[in-house]
Amino acid sequence: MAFVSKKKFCYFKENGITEIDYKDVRLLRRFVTEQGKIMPRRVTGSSAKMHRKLVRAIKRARNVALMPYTNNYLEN
Amino acid sequence: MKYYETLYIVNPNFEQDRLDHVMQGVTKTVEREKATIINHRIWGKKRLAYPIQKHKYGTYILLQFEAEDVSFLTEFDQFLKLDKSIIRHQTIRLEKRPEVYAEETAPASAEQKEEVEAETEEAVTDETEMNENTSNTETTPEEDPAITVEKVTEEQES
Repeated sequence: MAFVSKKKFCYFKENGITEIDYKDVRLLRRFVTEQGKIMPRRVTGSSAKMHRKLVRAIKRARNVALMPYTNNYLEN
Repeated sequence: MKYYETLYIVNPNFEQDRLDHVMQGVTKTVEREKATIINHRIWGKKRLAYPIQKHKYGTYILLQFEAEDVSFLTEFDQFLKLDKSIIRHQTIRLEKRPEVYAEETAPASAEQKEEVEAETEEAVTDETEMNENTSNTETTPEEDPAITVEKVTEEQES
């Protein structure tokens, strides 16, 4: 019982999302750690295609200060 | 025809008229190059995820346009870079034609009203059910209805 892994699924496939808008910060927040790092595909379970789109969207959002590059400065 | 989207952040200390001035300047440079604007609107004043030029907040403005000549984009980029009131900008190629933005204030408020009405109706039904329950429990002895009536009259008098 202890080693039964939770079934992973692609969030985008489940919800029928084909395009990711970099302005949709609420969605992007879910795929980023507390530090602001992009979560790996093995954690999110998203498909390779959607993960590429997700990464691009997050990086675009970071560029225009909608998302942080890092949250580490808050602790200092 | 290719579609592009530019998001630029303007100095947050700018009031409406200076903001309009900046937006007009952008509109002019875009239209000079045979490009047509689809949307050009203020997205709102937002808190920046990290400080840019020591600003904590920024006014986001979204511009969507279509253009044929790609060389225009470098020129436009240069213009945005040189404008000191614009603290950050980013241009992106869109796959599809963006929809013309329309303000959705009216239908949203109507929906809210409907929701409120539904809630009030539910509340009313709940209250009636509650009253029925209480009356049922009270009316098990025969004398009780009269007492309750008396109570009601007393309350009215007081």
